[in-house]
Amino acid sequence: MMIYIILGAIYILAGILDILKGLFNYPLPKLFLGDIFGGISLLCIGILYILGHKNDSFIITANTLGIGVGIISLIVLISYFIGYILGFKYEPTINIYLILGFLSILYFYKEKISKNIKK
Amino acid sequence: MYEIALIGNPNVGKSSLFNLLTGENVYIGNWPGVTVEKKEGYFDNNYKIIDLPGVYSLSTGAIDEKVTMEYFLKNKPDLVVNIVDATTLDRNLYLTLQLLEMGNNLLMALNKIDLCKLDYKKIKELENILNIKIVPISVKKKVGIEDLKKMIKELCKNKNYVILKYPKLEKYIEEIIDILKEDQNLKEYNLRLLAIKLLENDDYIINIVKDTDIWNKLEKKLNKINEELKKEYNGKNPFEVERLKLIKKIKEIVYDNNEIYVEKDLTYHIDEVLFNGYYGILVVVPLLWMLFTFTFTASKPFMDIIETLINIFSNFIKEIVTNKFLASLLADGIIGGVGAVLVFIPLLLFLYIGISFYEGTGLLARIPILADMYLRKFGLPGKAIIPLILGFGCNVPAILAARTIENEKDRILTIIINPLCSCSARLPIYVLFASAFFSKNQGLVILSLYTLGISLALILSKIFRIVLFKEEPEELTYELPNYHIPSFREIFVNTWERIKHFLRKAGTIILFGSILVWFLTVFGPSGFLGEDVFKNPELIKMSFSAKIGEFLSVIFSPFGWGWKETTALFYGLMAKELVVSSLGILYGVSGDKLLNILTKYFTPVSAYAYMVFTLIYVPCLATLGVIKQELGLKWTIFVMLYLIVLAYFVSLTIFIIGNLIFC
Repeated sequence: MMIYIILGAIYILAGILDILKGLFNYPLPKLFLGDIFGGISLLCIGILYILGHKNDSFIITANTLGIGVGIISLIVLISYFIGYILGFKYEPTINIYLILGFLSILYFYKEKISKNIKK
Repeated sequence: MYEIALIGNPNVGKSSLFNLLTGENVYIGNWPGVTVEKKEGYFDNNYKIIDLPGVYSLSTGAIDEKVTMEYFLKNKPDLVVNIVDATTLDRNLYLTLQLLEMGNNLLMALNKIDLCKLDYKKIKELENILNIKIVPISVKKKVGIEDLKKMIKELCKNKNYVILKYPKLEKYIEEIIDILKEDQNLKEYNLRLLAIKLLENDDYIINIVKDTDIWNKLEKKLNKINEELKKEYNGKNPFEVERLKLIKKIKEIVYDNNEIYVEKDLTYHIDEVLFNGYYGILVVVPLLWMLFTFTFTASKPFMDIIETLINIFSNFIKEIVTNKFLASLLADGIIGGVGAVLVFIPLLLFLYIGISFYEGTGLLARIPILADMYLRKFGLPGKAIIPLILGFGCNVPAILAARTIENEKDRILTIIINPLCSCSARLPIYVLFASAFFSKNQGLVILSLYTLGISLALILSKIFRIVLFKEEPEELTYELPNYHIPSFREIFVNTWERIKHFLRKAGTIILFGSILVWFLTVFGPSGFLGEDVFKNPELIKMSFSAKIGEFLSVIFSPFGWGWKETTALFYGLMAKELVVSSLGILYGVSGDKLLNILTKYFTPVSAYAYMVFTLIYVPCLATLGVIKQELGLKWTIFVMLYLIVLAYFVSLTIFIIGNLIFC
């Protein structure tokens, strides 16, 4: 199954929606942050996944970046949580970046991409 | 006490080895006269290790290279430890040969031995060719470090100075040394190194000997030798030819089939995409976003925590100090000023962790290569990409990030255009005015300001490159290390040392500036106005800052801005966020009322011109502080002046054209 194509399409869709929210304040759920730069990044990762039909290197790179995006979102979530429990106006909510990062991790294990990497 | 110089190419694991050898025992300063970090550390108390900047060769082009050259010209360390990347041995050997040419007690630390197929026999062969000791190590896996320490101790006690001599060139070196010896003033220098660099026609070295009594004699001799060498080596640098010849020979003996390392690992896969034409940009954009988000978004709650603590402390001081003048000086001036520096610490901490991580993983060496082809068209080096992107968050860390640019002119150019990257502190101003005047197209109006900022930065960098620097950005020389996860210790040690450095230096000017602004606000021609001045528009009107605003409003009269709008711009010097709050105080309103009142004082065109002015004019005090720290007073004044002139010119042009079109 070409899961990487589906994953790529999800990344692209999420990226476009986040850009639209950022640019035109589209009424989208809080899951989307309206981060234009972030939206473009998701778009880039999505394209890399889809380019995976050329060779494995694109999928491995997209997956590594996707996991990176997830980790950064998790760090931001933790940081906001600290701010929240100390009484500041932060809402530590799960967002699309974290979800997509998690999907990339799942895909990493499912396809056992790690086996393709000798070291 | 033995002095040991640690030297190697960039990205070979030198800093990690330095940390492993010295542990916590590290002192960080600057090399004399330049802002290049100088690290010194100790192990076993008797061994002082000096971490020299990472260089590809002993030349004098970039600032890092000059520092390294100066060190070897004037110092004779007991031992030179040359750390070499075993996976790219051939490229690293160029520096090794140069170190041997000048005559050093040299030890080679052959790093990343775990990643390549060099066996014991091959290493022995290499030892025999170079006539030096080699210790295979893996800094990442901490293998061979104890052996290296043992060898360092042994070679410090039983020195083995090796001089690499090229038969065809040796007699010329000796002839030059004989002349150099005649001048007593040159005694402090390594004459052999001087001679080699003179024969290589190094301008920096020629300038050292030009003012000596022997120069005429030396010049004649050099001309004669150069003529002979020109014929012999077809006009090529004779030393370069000899070095490359020797490296080729070593490669044939040590390598199997001219290859040392071929394996499809993560590095192979990512680099295949990264350097695959235009696909590389698809990798760079998410990488930059990650650094940006980690630096600015993740650090924000911690900045708020520090700001709150400072406010609590400030209020506490106001409560316990009964003298109102003293209370205001301490709370609003000094604590406010120190607070302005302290608030940046989380931001810098996250930035440096991010940069150290990218540096350690090997990404930092790659991103500039991809940006180089685009930025070079505007006269900027590829390495300017990181400061440019970070500038959209905050100019302070962005300017500090320019330290990764070795070439001094490239670094100056990158720093002086950085304030044109609109930092996040300017966003509240844009949002306020865009909501008041362009509510239907807020996003596009704000986007236009960001585009204007980066466009001006690129156009000006091209102009400055042609007018001020008059030479192309330095060619990007690079060594691509394998990707790996750096150790936490490496990241945090580097981060903490850089933060300390920032606090020590930038704190002084920001503190001074804060006290100055405080003074101009709480004092007026009638004397001390009281601490309520920050809340009361009638009191502010009597302050020196308002008087300055009134005076400056004459200059801004073509725009129709009065003293209140001009005074708000003046407060923006302290921090850009203050423009909005100052307007609120000066108009005596807040929230939605501020939006409404703005429409009485501005037209849509003058409001847009005001936004453009705040985008371009002088950056905040903290940014000026780090520019002063990095480039000195002369460049700081230059940045202030050119930005004010540019801001005025661009805003006025927009104001005039806007009025012609819309009014």
